[in-house]
Amino acid sequence: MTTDDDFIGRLEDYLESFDGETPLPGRVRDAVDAELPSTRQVRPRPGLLRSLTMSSTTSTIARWGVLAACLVVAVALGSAILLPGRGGGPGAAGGSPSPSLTSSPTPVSSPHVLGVVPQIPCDATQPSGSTCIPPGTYLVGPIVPGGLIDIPSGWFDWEPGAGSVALLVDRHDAVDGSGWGVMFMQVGAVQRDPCNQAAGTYPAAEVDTPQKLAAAMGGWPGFKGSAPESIVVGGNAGVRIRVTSTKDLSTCPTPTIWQTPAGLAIDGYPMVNGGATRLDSGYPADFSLIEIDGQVVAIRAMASAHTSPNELGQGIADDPKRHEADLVALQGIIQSLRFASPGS
Amino acid sequence: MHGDKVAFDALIERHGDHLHSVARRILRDPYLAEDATQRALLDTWRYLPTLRDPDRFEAWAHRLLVRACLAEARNERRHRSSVPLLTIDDPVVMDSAARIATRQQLDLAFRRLGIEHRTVVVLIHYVGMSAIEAAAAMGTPVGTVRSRLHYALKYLRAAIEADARLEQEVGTA
Repeated sequence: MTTDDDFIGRLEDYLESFDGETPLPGRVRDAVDAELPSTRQVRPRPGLLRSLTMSSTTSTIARWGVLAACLVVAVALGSAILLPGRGGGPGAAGGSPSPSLTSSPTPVSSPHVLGVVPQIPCDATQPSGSTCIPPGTYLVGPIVPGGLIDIPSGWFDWEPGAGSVALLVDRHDAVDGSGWGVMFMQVGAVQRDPCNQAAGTYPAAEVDTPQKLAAAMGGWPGFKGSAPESIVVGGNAGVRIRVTSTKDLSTCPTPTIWQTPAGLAIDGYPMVNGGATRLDSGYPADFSLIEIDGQVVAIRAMASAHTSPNELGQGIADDPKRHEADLVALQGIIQSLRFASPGS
Repeated sequence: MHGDKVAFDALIERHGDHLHSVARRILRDPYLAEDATQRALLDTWRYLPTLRDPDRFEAWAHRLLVRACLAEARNERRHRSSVPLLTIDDPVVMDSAARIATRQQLDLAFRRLGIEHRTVVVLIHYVGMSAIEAAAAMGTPVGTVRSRLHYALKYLRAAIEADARLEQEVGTA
């Protein structure tokens, strides 16, 4: 029988001596140095962006908006490191100030991962304007392991925090960001009531499949969920549910629908919209809930062509057709989700 | 930008070896550890401007590293379904004929731990974190960390004790 001290001592000796000295290999350092020029640094503005990369209850409305503002930097990094086959560099990517459905994604041999993508100007005529990612095929990243999606021009990526990554459409008149797009999210602790944190969270076993999660979401007080529809996304079975809410920030000031396993609070945007939208039933979002490697992944997509709540908040007029073309593009992005074959 | 690069180089100089050592122990694969360290260092660069308290750098960097390690492990698991992981409840496999030495037995048992359990053990018994600090690094509740540590140590301890019993049996035979 070993004593606790003896056992812990042996364990710590083992860990200390494991593999001997393992200094950081020079090739790793070289690889990091090589990637720095194409790796965009997050530069939060004082106050407004403080919570951008941290777990918080900050409104996603604000975060989606400030992210775009953060991207309004004079960075034209992409020209030398653009994905192959685009022919024309930044000009080809930003030829149209609004998102184009005509640009076909370009297959790449080694896709970039969303969140670490070289940026190009969204509008080639305004190189100091907001930046987008080049159209092409991208890995969604660890949230959707091995998942590949095709993205047209006029979109930019955003990582709200651990366990989520988003794609938003660029609009030059929405200087604080369109707040319109799709977010891929891991699902951790799910709130019983997004507007009342004191109500607690569901036990994991009650929300560990797409079907159970959809049922839980359909029961959120003040929210309305459609009947779940069976779907297959990237070969993974799941359900889709459309969620709306008539709550606004006066009745639901800090909406949180769930946390990612890493602790990032996912809030109620765009459903809880502060009363800005003119849609009587609230701004709808489609949640595609799929199971990947035993984990439920949620894909939250804007489900209305209306001017987004975030844009309305910037004084942009309500237009029921503002994102009509974007809706088609967004469906194309989601439907393009597929998985890299093992070893590829 | 230049100033950031200089500061970043200094951070790599100071912390790079340690982060790589931690990744080696969590992942137990030199190539995966290199990839994870590279990913973590690039994340460090990306998010460095958001770090408000320089005194928190080490804890923050560990958090990025753990994220990178878990991501690398997930990718590996996806592509190599034969990798034996999460075998907490399995009996310890003894090679009685070879009378495996304690260190080797510990090594075998440690290898068979799932990535999350290994990570907890490394953070607490190699890095020297508290359970609360490990929970912050892993983005999990403290209770989860304590539970994982309990089961991981129980499993590792069983491996050593089985080895000790074997030695005793051989010695008295």
